[in-house]
Amino acid sequence: MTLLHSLLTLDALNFGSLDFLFWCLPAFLAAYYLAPAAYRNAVLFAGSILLYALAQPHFVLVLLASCAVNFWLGARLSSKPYFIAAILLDVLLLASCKAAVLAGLCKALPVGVSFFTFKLISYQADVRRGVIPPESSFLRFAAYVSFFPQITSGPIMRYGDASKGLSSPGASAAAMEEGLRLLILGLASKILLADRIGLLWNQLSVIGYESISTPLAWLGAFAYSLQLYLDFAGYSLMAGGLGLLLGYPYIENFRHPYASRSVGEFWRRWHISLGSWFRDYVYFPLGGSRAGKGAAVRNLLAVWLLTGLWHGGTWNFLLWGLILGLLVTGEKFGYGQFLGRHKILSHVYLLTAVPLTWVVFAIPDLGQLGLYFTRLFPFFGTGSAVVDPGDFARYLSMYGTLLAAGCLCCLPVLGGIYRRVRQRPLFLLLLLVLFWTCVYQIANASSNPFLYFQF
Amino acid sequence: MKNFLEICKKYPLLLLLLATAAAFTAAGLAGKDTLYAAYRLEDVAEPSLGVVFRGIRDGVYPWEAFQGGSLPTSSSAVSNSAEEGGAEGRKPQEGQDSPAQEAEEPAPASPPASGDIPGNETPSSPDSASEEAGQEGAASSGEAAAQEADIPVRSFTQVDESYFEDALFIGDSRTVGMMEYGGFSENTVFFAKTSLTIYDLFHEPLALPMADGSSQTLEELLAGRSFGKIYIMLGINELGRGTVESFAEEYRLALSSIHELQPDAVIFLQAIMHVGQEKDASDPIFNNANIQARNDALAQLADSRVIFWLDPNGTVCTPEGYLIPDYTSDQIHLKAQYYQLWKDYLMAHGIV
Repeated sequence: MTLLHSLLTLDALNFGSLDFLFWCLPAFLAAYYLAPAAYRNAVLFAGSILLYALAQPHFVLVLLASCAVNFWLGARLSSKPYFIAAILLDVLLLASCKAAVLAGLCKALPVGVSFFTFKLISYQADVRRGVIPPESSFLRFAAYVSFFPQITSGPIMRYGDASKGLSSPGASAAAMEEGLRLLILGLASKILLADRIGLLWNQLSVIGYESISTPLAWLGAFAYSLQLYLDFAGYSLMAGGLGLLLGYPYIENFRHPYASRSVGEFWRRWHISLGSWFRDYVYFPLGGSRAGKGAAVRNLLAVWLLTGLWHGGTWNFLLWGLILGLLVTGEKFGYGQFLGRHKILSHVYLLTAVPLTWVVFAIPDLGQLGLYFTRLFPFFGTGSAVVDPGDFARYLSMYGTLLAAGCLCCLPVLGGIYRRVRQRPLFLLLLLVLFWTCVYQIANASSNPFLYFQF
Repeated sequence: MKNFLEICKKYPLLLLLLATAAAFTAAGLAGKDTLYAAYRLEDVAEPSLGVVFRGIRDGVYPWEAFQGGSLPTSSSAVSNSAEEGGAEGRKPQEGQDSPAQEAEEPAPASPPASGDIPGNETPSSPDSASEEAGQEGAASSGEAAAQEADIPVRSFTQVDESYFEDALFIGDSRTVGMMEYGGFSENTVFFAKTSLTIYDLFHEPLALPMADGSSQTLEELLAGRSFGKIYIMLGINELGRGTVESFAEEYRLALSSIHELQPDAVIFLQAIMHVGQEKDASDPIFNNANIQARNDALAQLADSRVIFWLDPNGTVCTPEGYLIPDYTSDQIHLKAQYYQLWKDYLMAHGIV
């Protein structure tokens, strides 16, 4: 086994892999902190590109070319055509990659293309508006775009937020400790909860949607909602923790979204860096709500349809975006005030509406999606298929503990508790136990891909 | 010293992580060729502490790595990863790329045992591709075989639901699906669990929760009451373990133990259900060629007197042998509503 071969098999950008946690990250951190501060951006850029190349060798050129072209155009933004060219190029890159995958021309998107193109667009727009000065160093610019903690799934850090880290690379002791804490909490959320709760949703399609009872269909929708949150918020915590380890500010991407009281509020607290991106670079430039009700409705629907398309190119994502757009518009111009007056009702509304939208998000086949909804709402028509009325009780007994733990993680009170106990020795020991429990889980799952998929 | 304390105070979590990681890595390295020899992944540059955690899963603890350099006496470690899976103790499941598995794949089905039970007729199952191999049984050995020579060859008849009243089903997740969606009465007993293997029956006996709340091994279950018929379908989880021959041999031993404990029961040995086309094309282990190689070997174990070969694949597969796409969403399991087809097949193949 050659060194090259073992390098090429590294699971380099998967934060939840032993390869990342015990090879890539320690090696990178050692290089980053052994290097004098003046060279750390170079180490960051080289490390990010290397990790990207290990994960997807054939697309690293797309990332590099994107950086180069945008840097060149970004220095000429005082002229409008250059600005338009930059935006068009980035949008075109993203759209053509997505179209190529949909058309079956290539198997997978370049890693993180949805995220780094959005970073690039925000950079160009912010420079053009004079929010930030254009970056004069290609190294710093490319280190920002290819920043490995965020390359695969965000958060979409603005250049203004990154510049502090880029200008004085390196973290304080307190930031490093906080970074490690968040890294472990995020890992635990993903490995110990999300991945395991996720099995329930898989199981429903194995049974076949026509054969699940109505209570199980609802349990499935809630479980999937929890899984998505624990997975993505867990990932975001890890990304935030990694950023802190390198001396970058923490980018908050989730703020206990399921405690919201309207879908609009939910989306201000879910994937915050994406929502604020659409607000700043699509909704406001379209005129926001300043040009009257009609225009505001149009702008909202445009934003939400684009949000749907950004998440995926199949019809269900368009439908999903449309539904979200209608809900948000309805709240803004209709029943939002009513929700504001009724605390319990608004929570019930949110915890019903959002899981239903996630079902639309999850099932790409519209026929299957329709089938799932007839199980959620059996009065729409019942299948003649075999249904086991005891299935709900069975799955609740199998997943009840995990689901309860997942629900606890949605409570806003956790944030306050965390801030109070984070320095305590006992909490550090708990983190240590969580970390090695995750490693146990990962080691056994990766060597044995069937741990989760036994028959 | 003062400096060190200061660092400890500033970086407590970092130091805790580094210290524990160093300890686990040291254990992994120390036991590399001994305690953890069976756990190394061949094609992957796994961090050396990975083996430690896979060991823990099997009850192999890291401190054992430092207790002398010789092979551990603990029965929970296996010295040679290429060793056949039926070796004493629990063996870690090999990763997909393990050469042990590669080597196993081309292995042919075991040759038919010499015809010690003459006058054998092939049962009338129309679906099995493997029946042409004949049914010369290696199912029971020694005196049991002598006794069974007195039992005439029997052939299948149509039966109704009541046939399953004194039936026992043994199997993995596919049989669990049958239990949940087959619409059986409460009297039908299932010894079934996701990931159950033939080794879990007697070799490394596994206790499963029963309907009455008790937890029993198969041996306890069989000793406790009598069954009229026993259906068994196992083998997909074992595809990555052992060879066709070692698997069939383990199966043969299990069948003879079952027969010994339940001499009056009819034993229905079911072919391993195939997988769908996508799975077949993409999986180096869980594919139909490997399944069929083992099915061919299993079919030899039936004698049509006590042990009957059933192959329900014909009712749920395309003519090419793939699970029918509409019948499955994960390429492996039937969707709930299609378990009835399998059950209908069983009812068309009763032995009375």
